[in-house]
Amino acid sequence: MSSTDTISNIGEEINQLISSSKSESSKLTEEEKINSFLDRINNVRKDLIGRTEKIKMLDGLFSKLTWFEIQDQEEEELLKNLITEAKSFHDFRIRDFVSIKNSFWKDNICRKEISSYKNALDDFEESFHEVQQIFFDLRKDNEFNDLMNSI
Amino acid sequence: MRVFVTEEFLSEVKSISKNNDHSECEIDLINSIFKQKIDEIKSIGTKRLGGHPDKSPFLRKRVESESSGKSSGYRLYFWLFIQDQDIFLLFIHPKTGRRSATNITTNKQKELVKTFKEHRDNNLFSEVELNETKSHLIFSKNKRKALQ
Repeated sequence: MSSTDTISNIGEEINQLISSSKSESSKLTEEEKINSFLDRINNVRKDLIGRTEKIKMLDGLFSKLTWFEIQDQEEEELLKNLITEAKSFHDFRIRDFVSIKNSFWKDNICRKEISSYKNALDDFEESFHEVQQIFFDLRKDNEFNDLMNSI
Repeated sequence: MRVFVTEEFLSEVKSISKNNDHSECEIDLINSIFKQKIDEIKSIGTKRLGGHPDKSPFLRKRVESESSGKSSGYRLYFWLFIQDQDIFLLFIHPKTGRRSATNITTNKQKELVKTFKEHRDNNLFSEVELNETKSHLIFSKNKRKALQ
Protein backbone atom coordinates (compact mmCIF):
# COMPACT_ATOMS: atom_id res chain seq x y z
CA MET A 1 0.00 0.00 0.00
CA SER A 2 1.47 3.41 -0.93
CA SER A 3 1.27 6.59 1.07
CA THR A 4 -1.17 8.11 -1.38
CA ASP A 5 -3.62 5.30 -0.79
CA THR A 6 -6.43 6.51 1.33
CA ILE A 7 -10.00 5.29 1.63
CA SER A 8 -11.00 8.43 -0.14
CA ASN A 9 -8.63 7.85 -3.07
CA ILE A 10 -9.62 4.23 -3.40
CA GLY A 11 -13.24 5.25 -3.13
CA GLU A 12 -12.73 7.77 -5.89
CA GLU A 13 -11.19 5.11 -8.09
CA ILE A 14 -14.05 2.74 -7.36
CA ASN A 15 -16.61 5.40 -8.22
CA GLN A 16 -14.80 6.27 -11.44
CA LEU A 17 -14.64 2.64 -12.46
CA ILE A 18 -18.31 2.05 -11.70
CA SER A 19 -19.25 5.24 -13.44
CA SER A 20 -17.21 4.45 -16.52
CA SER A 21 -18.49 0.87 -16.49
CA LYS A 22 -22.03 2.15 -16.27
CA SER A 23 -21.69 4.40 -19.29
CA GLU A 24 -19.78 1.70 -21.17
CA SER A 25 -22.36 -0.83 -20.20
CA SER A 26 -25.23 1.29 -21.42
CA LYS A 27 -23.42 2.00 -24.73
CA LEU A 28 -22.79 -1.69 -25.23
CA THR A 29 -26.36 -2.50 -24.54
CA GLU A 30 -27.50 -0.19 -27.29
CA GLU A 31 -24.95 -1.64 -29.66
CA GLU A 32 -25.79 -5.10 -28.57
CA LYS A 33 -29.43 -4.48 -29.29
CA ILE A 34 -28.66 -3.33 -32.82
CA ASN A 35 -26.05 -6.01 -33.36
CA SER A 36 -28.29 -8.67 -32.04
CA PHE A 37 -31.07 -7.52 -34.36
CA LEU A 38 -28.74 -7.40 -37.37
CA ASP A 39 -27.19 -10.72 -36.40
CA ARG A 40 -30.63 -12.24 -36.26
CA ILE A 41 -31.52 -10.93 -39.72
CA ASN A 42 -28.21 -12.20 -41.08
CA ASN A 43 -28.78 -15.56 -39.48
CA VAL A 44 -32.28 -15.76 -40.92
CA ARG A 45 -30.91 -14.80 -44.34
CA LYS A 46 -28.10 -17.38 -44.15
CA ASP A 47 -30.52 -19.99 -42.89
CA LEU A 48 -32.96 -19.32 -45.72
CA ILE A 49 -30.20 -19.43 -48.35
CA GLY A 50 -28.98 -22.71 -46.87
CA ARG A 51 -32.47 -24.21 -46.84
CA THR A 52 -33.10 -23.05 -50.41
CA GLU A 53 -29.84 -24.59 -51.60
CA LYS A 54 -30.71 -27.90 -49.97
CA ILE A 55 -34.16 -27.90 -51.58
CA LYS A 56 -32.55 -27.16 -54.96
CA MET A 57 -30.14 -30.03 -54.44
CA LEU A 58 -33.06 -32.32 -53.67
CA ASP A 59 -34.84 -31.06 -56.77
CA GLY A 60 -31.75 -31.82 -58.88
CA LEU A 61 -31.49 -35.31 -57.41
CA PHE A 62 -35.12 -36.03 -58.25
CA SER A 63 -34.47 -34.89 -61.84
CA LYS A 64 -31.46 -37.22 -61.93
CA LEU A 65 -33.63 -40.18 -60.95
CA THR A 66 -35.49 -39.92 -64.26
CA TRP A 67 -32.35 -40.81 -66.18
CA PHE A 68 -32.58 -44.32 -64.75
CA GLU A 69 -35.02 -47.16 -65.22
CA ILE A 70 -36.48 -49.18 -62.36
CA GLN A 71 -34.68 -52.52 -62.45
CA ASP A 72 -36.60 -54.56 -59.90
CA GLN A 73 -39.24 -54.55 -57.15
CA GLU A 74 -36.73 -53.36 -54.59
CA GLU A 75 -35.92 -50.24 -56.64
CA GLU A 76 -39.60 -49.59 -57.18
CA GLU A 77 -40.23 -49.70 -53.43
CA LEU A 78 -37.25 -47.46 -52.82
CA LEU A 79 -38.56 -44.93 -55.30
CA LYS A 80 -42.05 -45.00 -53.76
CA ASN A 81 -40.54 -44.43 -50.33
CA LEU A 82 -38.44 -41.54 -51.64
CA ILE A 83 -41.52 -39.87 -53.09
CA THR A 84 -43.44 -40.36 -49.84
CA GLU A 85 -40.52 -38.91 -47.89
CA ALA A 86 -40.32 -36.00 -50.31
CA LYS A 87 -44.03 -35.22 -49.92
CA SER A 88 -43.80 -35.32 -46.15
CA PHE A 89 -40.64 -33.17 -46.16
CA HIS A 90 -42.28 -30.68 -48.51
CA ASP A 91 -45.36 -30.41 -46.25
CA PHE A 92 -43.10 -29.79 -43.28
CA ARG A 93 -41.12 -27.15 -45.14
CA ILE A 94 -44.25 -25.40 -46.38
CA ARG A 95 -45.42 -24.99 -42.79
CA ASP A 96 -41.95 -23.71 -41.98
CA PHE A 97 -42.17 -21.28 -44.91
CA VAL A 98 -45.53 -19.94 -43.73
CA SER A 99 -44.14 -19.37 -40.26
CA ILE A 100 -41.06 -17.57 -41.62
CA LYS A 101 -43.15 -15.46 -43.97
CA ASN A 102 -45.53 -14.48 -41.17
CA SER A 103 -42.62 -13.42 -39.01
CA PHE A 104 -40.60 -11.39 -41.48
CA TRP A 105 -42.48 -10.49 -44.66
CA LYS A 106 -44.53 -7.61 -43.27
CA ASP A 107 -41.37 -5.96 -41.95
CA ASN A 108 -39.66 -6.23 -45.34
CA ILE A 109 -37.02 -8.53 -43.95
CA CYS A 110 -35.34 -11.07 -46.26
CA ARG A 111 -38.12 -10.88 -48.83
CA LYS A 112 -35.87 -11.91 -51.70
CA GLU A 113 -34.65 -14.96 -49.77
CA ILE A 114 -38.18 -15.87 -48.67
CA SER A 115 -39.39 -15.73 -52.29
CA SER A 116 -36.47 -17.86 -53.48
CA TYR A 117 -37.21 -20.37 -50.75
CA LYS A 118 -40.84 -20.61 -51.88
CA ASN A 119 -39.83 -20.92 -55.55
CA ALA A 120 -37.43 -23.73 -54.67
CA LEU A 121 -40.17 -25.48 -52.69
CA ASP A 122 -42.58 -25.15 -55.62
CA ASP A 123 -40.03 -26.54 -58.06
CA PHE A 124 -39.27 -29.39 -55.69
CA GLU A 125 -42.97 -30.23 -55.35
CA GLU A 126 -43.31 -30.18 -59.12
CA SER A 127 -40.30 -32.49 -59.39
CA PHE A 128 -41.41 -35.27 -57.10
CA HIS A 129 -44.92 -35.22 -58.54
CA GLU A 130 -43.41 -35.47 -61.98
CA VAL A 131 -41.09 -38.29 -61.01
CA GLN A 132 -44.11 -40.15 -59.69
CA GLN A 133 -45.98 -39.52 -62.95
CA ILE A 134 -43.03 -40.54 -65.13
CA PHE A 135 -42.24 -43.80 -63.32
CA PHE A 136 -45.64 -44.98 -62.18
CA ASP A 137 -47.91 -43.66 -64.90
CA LEU A 138 -46.17 -42.77 -68.15
CA ARG A 139 -43.54 -45.52 -68.25
CA LYS A 140 -46.10 -48.14 -67.20
CA ASP A 141 -48.44 -47.12 -70.00
CA ASN A 142 -48.45 -49.77 -72.74
CA GLU A 143 -49.36 -47.34 -75.49
CA PHE A 144 -46.53 -45.02 -74.49
CA ASN A 145 -44.06 -47.91 -74.45
CA ASP A 146 -45.26 -49.18 -77.84
CA LEU A 147 -44.88 -45.68 -79.25
CA MET A 148 -41.41 -45.32 -77.78
CA ASN A 149 -40.37 -48.67 -79.26
CA SER A 150 -41.53 -47.50 -82.66
CA ILE A 151 -39.23 -44.48 -82.66
CA MET B 1 -26.21 -28.68 -83.27
CA ARG B 2 -29.37 -28.56 -85.40
CA VAL B 3 -32.76 -27.55 -84.05
CA PHE B 4 -36.08 -28.55 -85.57
CA VAL B 5 -39.58 -27.36 -84.75
CA THR B 6 -43.18 -28.21 -85.53
CA GLU B 7 -45.77 -25.67 -86.62
CA GLU B 8 -47.63 -26.34 -83.38
CA PHE B 9 -44.54 -25.42 -81.42
CA LEU B 10 -44.06 -22.10 -83.21
CA SER B 11 -47.74 -21.30 -82.85
CA GLU B 12 -47.51 -22.00 -79.11
CA VAL B 13 -44.51 -19.70 -78.70
CA LYS B 14 -46.35 -16.93 -80.57
CA SER B 15 -49.40 -17.31 -78.35
CA ILE B 16 -47.34 -17.35 -75.17
CA SER B 17 -45.41 -14.26 -76.27
CA LYS B 18 -48.61 -12.22 -76.48
CA ASN B 19 -48.75 -12.23 -72.70
CA ASN B 20 -46.70 -9.38 -71.20
CA ASP B 21 -45.16 -11.68 -68.62
CA HIS B 22 -43.81 -13.94 -71.35
CA SER B 23 -43.10 -11.48 -74.12
CA GLU B 24 -39.43 -12.53 -74.05
CA CYS B 25 -40.20 -16.18 -74.72
CA GLU B 26 -38.14 -16.26 -77.92
CA ILE B 27 -35.09 -14.82 -76.13
CA ASP B 28 -35.58 -17.26 -73.25
CA LEU B 29 -35.61 -20.14 -75.72
CA ILE B 30 -32.52 -18.83 -77.45
CA ASN B 31 -30.68 -18.56 -74.15
CA SER B 32 -31.68 -21.96 -72.85
CA ILE B 33 -31.34 -24.02 -76.02
CA PHE B 34 -29.55 -22.28 -78.87
CA LYS B 35 -26.76 -20.81 -76.75
CA GLN B 36 -26.16 -23.97 -74.74
CA LYS B 37 -24.18 -27.12 -75.28
CA ILE B 38 -25.94 -30.48 -75.48
CA ASP B 39 -24.64 -31.53 -72.05
CA GLU B 40 -25.99 -28.34 -70.48
CA ILE B 41 -29.34 -28.76 -72.18
CA LYS B 42 -29.51 -32.31 -70.86
CA SER B 43 -28.46 -31.64 -67.32
CA ILE B 44 -29.92 -28.35 -66.10
CA GLY B 45 -33.51 -28.72 -64.90
CA THR B 46 -34.15 -31.54 -67.36
CA LYS B 47 -36.06 -34.76 -66.74
CA ARG B 48 -36.18 -37.76 -69.02
CA LEU B 49 -39.70 -38.90 -69.82
CA GLY B 50 -38.56 -41.84 -71.90
CA GLY B 51 -36.23 -42.92 -74.67
CA HIS B 52 -32.66 -44.15 -74.43
CA PRO B 53 -30.79 -41.94 -71.95
CA ASP B 54 -27.53 -41.94 -73.93
CA LYS B 55 -28.92 -41.95 -77.46
CA SER B 56 -32.34 -40.40 -77.94
CA PRO B 57 -34.05 -39.22 -74.75
CA PHE B 58 -37.50 -37.61 -74.79
CA LEU B 59 -37.16 -34.72 -72.34
CA ARG B 60 -38.92 -32.05 -70.35
CA LYS B 61 -36.91 -29.01 -69.35
CA ARG B 62 -37.48 -26.02 -67.14
CA VAL B 63 -36.64 -22.94 -69.14
CA GLU B 64 -35.68 -19.90 -67.19
CA SER B 65 -37.44 -16.66 -67.88
CA GLU B 66 -35.23 -13.57 -68.12
CA SER B 67 -37.92 -11.43 -66.64
CA SER B 68 -39.41 -13.54 -63.91
CA GLY B 69 -37.03 -16.31 -62.82
CA LYS B 70 -36.96 -20.02 -63.35
CA SER B 71 -40.06 -20.86 -61.37
CA SER B 72 -42.15 -18.56 -63.49
CA GLY B 73 -40.50 -19.68 -66.68
CA TYR B 74 -41.58 -22.35 -69.14
CA ARG B 75 -41.70 -26.08 -69.48
CA LEU B 76 -40.28 -27.35 -72.74
CA TYR B 77 -40.82 -30.80 -74.26
CA PHE B 78 -38.34 -32.00 -76.83
CA TRP B 79 -36.49 -34.90 -78.29
CA LEU B 80 -32.73 -35.05 -78.32
CA PHE B 81 -30.61 -37.19 -80.63
CA ILE B 82 -27.29 -37.06 -78.91
CA GLN B 83 -24.99 -38.52 -81.54
CA ASP B 84 -26.32 -36.31 -84.35
CA GLN B 85 -26.76 -33.37 -81.96
CA ASP B 86 -30.29 -32.83 -83.25
CA ILE B 87 -33.02 -31.30 -81.10
CA PHE B 88 -36.71 -31.55 -81.96
CA LEU B 89 -38.78 -28.97 -80.09
CA LEU B 90 -42.33 -30.23 -79.65
CA PHE B 91 -44.23 -28.24 -77.07
CA ILE B 92 -43.84 -25.42 -74.59
CA HIS B 93 -46.06 -23.94 -71.93
CA PRO B 94 -45.50 -21.25 -69.31
CA LYS B 95 -45.49 -22.29 -65.70
CA THR B 96 -47.82 -19.49 -64.70
CA GLY B 97 -50.62 -17.61 -66.38
CA ARG B 98 -53.58 -18.55 -68.52
CA ARG B 99 -51.71 -20.98 -70.77
CA SER B 100 -49.91 -22.68 -67.92
CA ALA B 101 -50.08 -26.29 -66.88
CA THR B 102 -47.62 -27.33 -64.21
CA ASN B 103 -47.52 -30.84 -65.54
CA ILE B 104 -49.19 -31.89 -68.78
CA THR B 105 -51.10 -35.17 -68.76
CA THR B 106 -49.88 -38.59 -69.76
CA ASN B 107 -52.23 -38.43 -72.75
CA LYS B 108 -50.70 -35.16 -73.94
CA GLN B 109 -47.23 -36.63 -73.52
CA LYS B 110 -48.26 -39.62 -75.64
CA GLU B 111 -49.64 -37.21 -78.24
CA LEU B 112 -46.25 -35.53 -78.36
CA VAL B 113 -44.56 -38.84 -79.09
CA LYS B 114 -47.07 -39.43 -81.90
CA THR B 115 -46.45 -35.90 -83.21
CA PHE B 116 -42.73 -36.51 -83.22
CA LYS B 117 -43.07 -39.82 -85.05
CA GLU B 118 -45.50 -38.41 -87.61
CA HIS B 119 -43.34 -35.35 -88.30
CA ARG B 120 -40.16 -37.37 -88.54
CA ASP B 121 -41.67 -40.07 -90.77
CA ASN B 122 -43.23 -37.50 -93.10
CA ASN B 123 -40.35 -35.05 -93.01
CA LEU B 124 -42.54 -32.27 -91.60
CA PHE B 125 -40.08 -30.69 -89.19
CA SER B 126 -38.63 -27.28 -90.05
CA GLU B 127 -35.06 -26.51 -89.15
CA VAL B 128 -34.49 -23.19 -87.38
CA GLU B 129 -31.34 -21.29 -86.47
CA LEU B 130 -30.29 -17.95 -85.03
CA ASN B 131 -30.10 -14.84 -87.18
CA GLU B 132 -26.82 -12.94 -87.46
CA THR B 133 -27.39 -10.90 -84.32
CA LYS B 134 -28.49 -14.03 -82.44
CA SER B 135 -31.67 -12.31 -81.36
CA HIS B 136 -34.28 -14.13 -83.47
CA LEU B 137 -35.07 -17.57 -84.77
CA ILE B 138 -35.08 -17.89 -88.53
CA PHE B 139 -35.95 -20.80 -90.80
CA SER B 140 -32.73 -22.34 -92.11
CA LYS B 141 -34.32 -22.89 -95.52
CA ASN B 142 -35.39 -19.36 -96.46
CA LYS B 143 -33.86 -17.26 -93.60
CA ARG B 144 -37.24 -15.77 -92.77
CA LYS B 145 -38.14 -15.03 -89.15
CA ALA B 146 -39.75 -18.10 -87.62
CA LEU B 147 -41.87 -16.21 -85.12
CA GLN B 148 -43.36 -13.36 -87.12
